[in-house]
Amino acid sequence: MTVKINTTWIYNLYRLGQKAASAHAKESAREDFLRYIISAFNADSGSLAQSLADDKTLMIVAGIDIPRQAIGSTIKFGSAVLGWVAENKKPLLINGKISSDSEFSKQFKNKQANKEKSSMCWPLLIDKQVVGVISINKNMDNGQFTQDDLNRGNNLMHFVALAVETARSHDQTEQLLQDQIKLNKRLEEAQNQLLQSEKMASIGQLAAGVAHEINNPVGYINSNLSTLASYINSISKMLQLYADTADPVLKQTPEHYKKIKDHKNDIDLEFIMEDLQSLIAESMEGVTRVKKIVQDLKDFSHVDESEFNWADIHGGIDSTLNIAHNEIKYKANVIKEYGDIPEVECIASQINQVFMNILVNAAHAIEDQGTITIKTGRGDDDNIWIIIRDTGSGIPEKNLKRIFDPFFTSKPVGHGTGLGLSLSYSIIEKHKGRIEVDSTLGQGTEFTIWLPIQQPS
Amino acid sequence: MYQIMLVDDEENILKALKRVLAVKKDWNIEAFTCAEEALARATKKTFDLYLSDYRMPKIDGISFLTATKSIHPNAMRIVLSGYTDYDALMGAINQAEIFRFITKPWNDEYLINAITQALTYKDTLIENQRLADQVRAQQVQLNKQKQIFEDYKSKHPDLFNVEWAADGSIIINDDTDTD
Repeated sequence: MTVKINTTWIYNLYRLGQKAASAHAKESAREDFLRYIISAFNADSGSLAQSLADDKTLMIVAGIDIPRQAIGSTIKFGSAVLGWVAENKKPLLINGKISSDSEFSKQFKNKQANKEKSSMCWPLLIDKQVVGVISINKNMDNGQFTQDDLNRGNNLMHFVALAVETARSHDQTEQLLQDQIKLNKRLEEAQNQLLQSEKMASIGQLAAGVAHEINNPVGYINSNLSTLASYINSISKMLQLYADTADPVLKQTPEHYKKIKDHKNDIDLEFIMEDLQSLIAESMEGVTRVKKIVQDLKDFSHVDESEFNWADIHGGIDSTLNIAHNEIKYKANVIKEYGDIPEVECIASQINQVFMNILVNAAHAIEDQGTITIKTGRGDDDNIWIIIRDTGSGIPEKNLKRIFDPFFTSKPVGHGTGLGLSLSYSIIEKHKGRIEVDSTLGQGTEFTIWLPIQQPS
Repeated sequence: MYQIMLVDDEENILKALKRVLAVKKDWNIEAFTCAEEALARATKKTFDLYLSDYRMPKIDGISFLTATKSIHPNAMRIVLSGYTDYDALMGAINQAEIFRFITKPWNDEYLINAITQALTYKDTLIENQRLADQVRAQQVQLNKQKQIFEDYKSKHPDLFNVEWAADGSIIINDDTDTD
């Protein structure tokens, strides 16, 4: 013993232990802690291992003059010297080769074990529970440890154990905290996904409800326009009849004739009669479009549909294009190159949602004016593919890997949830299909979706 | 004149429908925004066809049409609805036994055709019933006459044992026993 172990020494040990438990640079703090103990025994090297949460494994957390890669490695209770000490809860003194010790001769045959060394090992016990193991070694030329050293160490180790336990529980608390943070994040993701799908469902329900309500006014507007057209037709015939039969009579009273003729010119009757036709035709076209939108809204929402059904993919793309019309019309020219594909067993509303996400992203990627090409075809296996390509800004290489990650968005804050593509990904995954992306910066992006024609049972 | 009743809680729908149906001069239209009032009217007057909306406050179209079925079982029923959910369709077909389910917005010509067909179908049904009645009445008459004939035959069997020659003369056989 070179250092006198007194209250000051123990206080310093306690201080180092505290530091090892809470410091940011844990590794070096633990080394300091270990070095302090080693120097107290005038030893050359040593290692400190903590029990893991399972109480069956040790992990080396600090070492002085031991191979670097040993730190962080684990040792099962019962195996190796440290493991033996932990298993048997007994201190150990070895002088000479480990391989020559009767207890370990079978276990150790490597080089390390053949070194001539003097070593002491203590289990660190709290309430008969092994919280760690410490070993300190001395080269044989530096003298040997004695049974006396081991016994003195026994008393000291109560304090070391306390310090290690503090560090260990600190570690465990931190681990728990990390786990909890991870768990919270996953929970948040799941909640957001749920929220998103709930949002979509309620939007769908709302859309379908609104669609039905719109049908009433559209119903009578549409019908009234037809009636109006036929009324106007009758009036126009009537006016013609007047012109043909009454005019010659009227001409005999030039005063009346002029009055009527002037008024005719004032209101430009000829133009009115002509324009009335296009007025009605245009209004009818408008109503037809409203009818189409309502139909698309109903198709898109498929409120009652959450099961796999046979659906026409082209119909789905068309109705989605109609809904996304506003987002796309000023940006892109849409080219459809539909192949010959059969109906696909899918949840149509969800697949439409995927198309929607990709199409809207495509439109957003186009800065000025561009083209969106939609191709479909049949794959080799019993599947179909859908390619949606845009001539937009493209996705940078570094983002390409992350675009399907939840919350990843390249849009400004508040403009994208970062859920669209991740949701699309999970929808396609649910359909046992796959979705791939290929993008060239400045040239555009291409999404390819494969869907099995029939869902595997 | 065919009597047609329209029911829809939206006045403008009724107005539009009346304009469309006015082209048929032999259709007399009565329109109601309230299904209860419509039902009260149906108990006082016979209608050939009922056309009703599905979604209405208090009484829905299916219940209304089902109620008219017990008042005028021979009348035709048509639903004109903005909603086409499963329940509506099932109720319309199985309970109200409708002739057509027409969706809003409707096509005027299709609507007129549907009503015309319904009325023709109804006429055919009634004609069928009338003819069946007539056949039954004639059958009864026929049976009566057959009975009279049989009675007569059993009373005077010899009258029916006459041999006729090709020229319509009666052959009197010399061999007949004339004791």
